[in-house]
Amino acid sequence: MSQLKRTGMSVSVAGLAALSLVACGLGGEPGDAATAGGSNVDGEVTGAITFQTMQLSPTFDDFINGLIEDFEDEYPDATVEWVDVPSAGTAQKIAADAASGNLADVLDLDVATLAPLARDGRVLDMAEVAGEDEADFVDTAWGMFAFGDVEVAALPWYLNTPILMMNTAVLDEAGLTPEDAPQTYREMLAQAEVIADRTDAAAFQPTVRELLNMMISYGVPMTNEDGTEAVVDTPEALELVEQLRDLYEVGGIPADALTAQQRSEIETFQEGRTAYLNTGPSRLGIVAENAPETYEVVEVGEPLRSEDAGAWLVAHGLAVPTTSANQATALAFARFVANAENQLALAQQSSVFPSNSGALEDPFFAEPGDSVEERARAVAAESLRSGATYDRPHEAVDTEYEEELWSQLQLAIMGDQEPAEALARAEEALMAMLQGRSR
Amino acid sequence: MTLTAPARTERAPGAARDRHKRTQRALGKRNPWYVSAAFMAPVLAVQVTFLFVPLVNTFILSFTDAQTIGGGSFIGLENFQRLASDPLFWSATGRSVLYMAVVVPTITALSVSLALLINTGLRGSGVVRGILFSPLVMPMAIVAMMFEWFYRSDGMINQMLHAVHLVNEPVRFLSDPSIALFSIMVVTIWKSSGLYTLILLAALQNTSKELDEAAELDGAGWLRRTWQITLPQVRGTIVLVGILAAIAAIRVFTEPYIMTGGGPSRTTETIVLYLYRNGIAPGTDAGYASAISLFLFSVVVIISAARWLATRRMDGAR
Repeated sequence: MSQLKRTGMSVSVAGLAALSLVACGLGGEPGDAATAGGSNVDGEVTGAITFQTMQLSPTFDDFINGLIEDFEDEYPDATVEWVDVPSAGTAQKIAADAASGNLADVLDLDVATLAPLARDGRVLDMAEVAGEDEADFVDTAWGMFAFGDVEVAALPWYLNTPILMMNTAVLDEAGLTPEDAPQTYREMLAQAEVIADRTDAAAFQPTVRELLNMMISYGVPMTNEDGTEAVVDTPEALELVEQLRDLYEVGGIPADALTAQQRSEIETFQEGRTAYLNTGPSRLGIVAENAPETYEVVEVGEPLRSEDAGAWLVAHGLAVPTTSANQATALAFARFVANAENQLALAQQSSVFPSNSGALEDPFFAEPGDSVEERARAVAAESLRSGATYDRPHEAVDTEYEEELWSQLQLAIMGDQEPAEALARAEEALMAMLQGRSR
Repeated sequence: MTLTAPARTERAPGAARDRHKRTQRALGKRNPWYVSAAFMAPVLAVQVTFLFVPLVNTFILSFTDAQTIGGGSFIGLENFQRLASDPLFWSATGRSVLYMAVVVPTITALSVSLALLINTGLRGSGVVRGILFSPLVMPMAIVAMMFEWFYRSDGMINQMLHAVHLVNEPVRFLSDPSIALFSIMVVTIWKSSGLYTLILLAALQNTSKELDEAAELDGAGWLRRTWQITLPQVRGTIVLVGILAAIAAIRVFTEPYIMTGGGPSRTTETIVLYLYRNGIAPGTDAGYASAISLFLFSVVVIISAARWLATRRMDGAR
């Protein structure tokens, strides 16, 4: 092979590689949806689709396979292939699939993972293609999938909302009873001083999400109305941070809480180092398994609520990407999975809650029962039924926002920085983040 | 003699060249180019797929405003301008450099000392060797979690310090901004020293025993023999260990990610953690994260080039 030929071949290979790289780096433009036909959900329910879930296998293998069989029985010309992805790898898989144009036809995603796709208009707007279903769903659940121009980025599927777990042994030591349990974050902080004074335990462990909830509860708006400016440097926020700092100083907050890993609050509660844990009812099972002695003294009550907004809510939704080649079947399957009957069936074999209002009316959720799990289920279901739940003050207040806020206030809570200075810096950093997004 | 000798010396290189050409032709006949290409293909395919393609892709992305889900358009040098004026990035870089400045000399000195100790063959050195190398088999994530427990306010280290009355209040190893980064460095040093000790031990076992014995006969003590006879023979390996440790230190991620998440208030956030937070989770700014990656890649290339230069200089000095 002559030198000239070799050089020519090398240049060609490099050129092809560069072209393919450009394609893979910048692929998956939002406009792809339009070129693929945009929303096209009126066709026949036929053909093959892929359904991707977040870590439901192997626990729910039978349930999901049963769902697919039922759907395929109802629509004999349609087939569904199920793919399950571990939670930790979902965001990366979604990013890679979106960039390469290979997203599954129906995606089970939480709000945070769905956000980049929804903000970029890469999923069908359920308000447009399934708007008539709105009345079937819990209002807050339907509303929490709003991102920019996409009013409802996914059909709500399963939900979680908190209950207040109490360690009655710690409360006893502090001279308190479950009847004294706080109803709001403000009451919780007031009681935390008493618990720190009378016991070796702390009242609770603040977390990234709980700090946000506390701020909302104290009346901090978090952003302006259109979500373009951060608003966290307010007198209410200052009052809260100063209270948290004072609590940290007297042991009302666990010493290592501020740099602890996410979800470590359950370990702290299991070890009897906190009196309260405001969390989803599913955590009861974890406490029962890991710390039977603590589980024996656990009681449950109404969740901590913000005075005017209720208790927090997290949701998984079923989204259909605009790139799906079979949107009619994908949408039909998403609606099938999210109907009252199937949501109830899922909730009955797990510790999640249906987003379908009809399913929530089932006696399974309405009757408190004797066990602590049954009582917890009834409390959480009542929050959902009565609409005493909220999502976020604005879609801009997402995981990235929460984490930045948490990061900015850690030193102030530990007493290593003035709260006023920390709040000013936090607002500045959050403002820069929001402005960066709008660029 | 005077006439024939130069003729021989002139012919000799020519003959060698001829022999070399003949050998090459013979090899070429037996092994056409596609045979060697076939042998290299699997490795090349892996390298191209997992190294070259992502690297060029990162390069392209760094000039765009792409998100992790794709999309984006060409924005020229905007990401690099942002990088240059981003105080959080420079703070993270400063912490990574500090990390490297503390960890690299400590690991190198510790590994050399331990390797020398084990190489002396003292009684019990086999046991020490086993203990030293045990961190090697543990995943970094597990080690980081283990140390997180040790560092807790009611953890083992604080209990020991309290028991010997060194402290009255628990030391906030991971939440005090002035010591948190150093607490994490200890984990890197603990985990990495075993591997580097192993590398140095292998080099020490290849040193010349004759030189050592000769020096001993000349009356040199252990310390002098070690300093002037043994260590100069493994200088190249020591440099290699230093460079490997430096590259690992500048890329440190798992330890701060697991132990503090970069907190409190970003005081343990290193470059890679900053990159992760911007481009993978929770941030989705793939373009900017790619620009940070390129910066990091350049730093690693510079460190590697320094190693290459140092090795060449040492080879030249011999």
